[in-house]
Amino acid sequence: MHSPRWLFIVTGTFFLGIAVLPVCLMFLESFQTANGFTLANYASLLTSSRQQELLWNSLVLALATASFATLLGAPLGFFLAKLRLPSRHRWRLLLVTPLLVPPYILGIAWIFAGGQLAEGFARWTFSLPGAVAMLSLSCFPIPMLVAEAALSRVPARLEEAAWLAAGWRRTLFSITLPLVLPSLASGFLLVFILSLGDFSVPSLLRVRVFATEVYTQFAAFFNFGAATAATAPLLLLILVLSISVRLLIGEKWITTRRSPGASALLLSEAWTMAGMGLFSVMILLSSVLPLLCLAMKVRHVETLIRSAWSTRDSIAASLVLSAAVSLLSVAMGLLLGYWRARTKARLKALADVLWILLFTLPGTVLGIGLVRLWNQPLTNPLYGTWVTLLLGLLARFVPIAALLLAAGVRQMPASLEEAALVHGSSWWRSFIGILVPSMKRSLLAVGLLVFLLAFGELAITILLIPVGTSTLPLQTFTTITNSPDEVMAALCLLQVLVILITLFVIGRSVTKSRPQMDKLPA
Amino acid sequence: MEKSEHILQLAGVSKSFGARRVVDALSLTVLPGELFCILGPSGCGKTTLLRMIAGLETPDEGSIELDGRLVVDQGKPRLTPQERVIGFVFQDLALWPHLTVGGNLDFVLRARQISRPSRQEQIRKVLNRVHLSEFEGAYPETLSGGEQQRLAIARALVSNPLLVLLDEPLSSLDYRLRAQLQQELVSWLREFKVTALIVTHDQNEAFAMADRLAIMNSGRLVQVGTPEGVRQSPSDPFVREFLMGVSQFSS
Repeated sequence: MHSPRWLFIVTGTFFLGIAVLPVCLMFLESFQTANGFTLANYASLLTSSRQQELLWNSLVLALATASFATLLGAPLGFFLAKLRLPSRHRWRLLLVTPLLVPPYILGIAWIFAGGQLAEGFARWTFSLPGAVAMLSLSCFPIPMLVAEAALSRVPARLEEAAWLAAGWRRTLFSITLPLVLPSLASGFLLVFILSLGDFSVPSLLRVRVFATEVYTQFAAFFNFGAATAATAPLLLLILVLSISVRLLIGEKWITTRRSPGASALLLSEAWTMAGMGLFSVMILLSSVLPLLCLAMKVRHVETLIRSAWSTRDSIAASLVLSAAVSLLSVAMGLLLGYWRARTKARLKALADVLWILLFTLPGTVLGIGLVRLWNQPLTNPLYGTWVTLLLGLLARFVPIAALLLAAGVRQMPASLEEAALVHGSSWWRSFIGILVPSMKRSLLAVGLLVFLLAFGELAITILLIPVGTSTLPLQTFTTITNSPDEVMAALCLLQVLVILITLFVIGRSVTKSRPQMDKLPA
Repeated sequence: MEKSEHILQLAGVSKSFGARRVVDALSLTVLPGELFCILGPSGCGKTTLLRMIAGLETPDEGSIELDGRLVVDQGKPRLTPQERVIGFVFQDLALWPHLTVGGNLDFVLRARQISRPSRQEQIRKVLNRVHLSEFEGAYPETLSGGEQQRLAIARALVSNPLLVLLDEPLSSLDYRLRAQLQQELVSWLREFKVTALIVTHDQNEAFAMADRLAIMNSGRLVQVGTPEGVRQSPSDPFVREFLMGVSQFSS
């Protein structure tokens, strides 16, 4: 296809510069001291009992969260895929909400709840198990979505053929489950990686893990060597896991297309009731109750309005920044994803691994790499401005946009564009006139996702924000210790309100009608 | 109860999807041991008919009787697909990709609660018959198109079902392979002494294989008879027009 190569080279180089370079710099730096090459930073990782405690906490947190989230999410995904549900997309949207609300907000809500319920519960929340519970309740939508997508992709005939010989239980366990197992494993791994790198919840609950240690070393002691060395084992672990995810999923990244034919496992009405009951319990636990806790803490609408007014600058900054990040991420992600989907180069598998790695890398780790990159004589004029923060957030969110949009482009038959080219259209006209409109919904969905993630972002923001300014999440987070509870709750509630309004205004148009590509002939 | 004269009987079976009536008050009798073909243009309701007999769809009205047992009674299913003991060759084959050739057959036999030694014996016998013995440990995706087709047929035959339903069983093959496999398919069906209901849009195939056949159009059977009977005296203009191709071809 006669696509302009310079366009992809420029975009790719820019991306490498803002996202990959900082990680590489940091990795190299972990081997350096004033006297040259050293492994001392790593040696201390293995020998110091402090580091071993960190490693232990991080691994337990990640493993337990991934297990619980999968145990909760996979059955929900099964029901979403297999029940004859009225308004399936509405259930899905409600169930996904906790993933889109930053986990520390759920955490703060549960802390308030603990304070009201019982002394024991309040103390329990400030512990490793407490962190596991909160992260599981905010991560379960990932295995849920992965399971639903995988189950909808299993061709109905395979289940029907089994159903002729065996009952639905054996069909489920011998045919359906083995076919979706790789996807379930990849969902598990994703939650594992994300909770390994989560900064906000452990820091809120004062659980010490690698992701928080990196920040402490940097912000409290300003010790680059120790900070980067603390990130190195995480970096390696996440690299290995990213490769595993790529191997498990292969080319089948979250495709939304359902397999032809209705699902074979026709679960009865009783199951539909049971499934909807389960959905309701999960929605109650993961969204409704935390929100109620916050609302009860705020009590008066007046408090909410007053908080909104006093933080209006931060709210405006958050909205503008997230919108810019969302637009730019979609534009860059589409170009990179297009290259990924249409190239025949061997590099494409590497690109996948890189994207998974960069998206799952703890925000604090990427953030410190970015500080290193921008706090140089050459780039110093930009350091400490909104530009650095914007580029930092792009480094964080372009990878996920590229990953998802590459999957979107792959679902579009190349023949659609080829037809335009054959009939005399330029590459640009076929790209803008054919591809972009037919991917409208994917683009909107990815844009919405990036907007919501950027709106709640904390780790990179906290490291790169210009002095004297703030975003709404940052304001929430930094006032935890010195504000009255109702102000905290009000700030959290404001964030949730912005998220919910965005979600239900834009999200409706994304999920309401089916994606365009479903209309294409098989 | 005396042995029934027919193996399959449908009475007044109808099925609609939304406003579209796909199968319309259809009645049909299939005798033990015969190869019965249903021939019709695409979209005439053939596949839905097979799926209702297998229990994968439920008719809106009508009854289905299988070997003297009422499996659907006035639109209400009495037996699950599993209890009907039917073999099915799907148009897209639907081979289980995570099970080996032997595993695909074994899954069917295990569900019928057959002991391990006799399962193995049965698998070996069927694979030998369809010339797939050397592939017992291979996975379906490594087989050629013709081999996959034979595996799908073997899977439908392996549990000695009362009735085998075949949905366009040869349509995915190229012309030469189709002609060869068609003859083999008939000989296997006779050898395993099963009754077969074959659905196809290919007239040559239907006339070459069938003991009796039915022409289907818009959810109804337009004419039922022996191949010669139907060819010599088409009952109405649709059948005459539909058969034009084949009568010119074979005469």
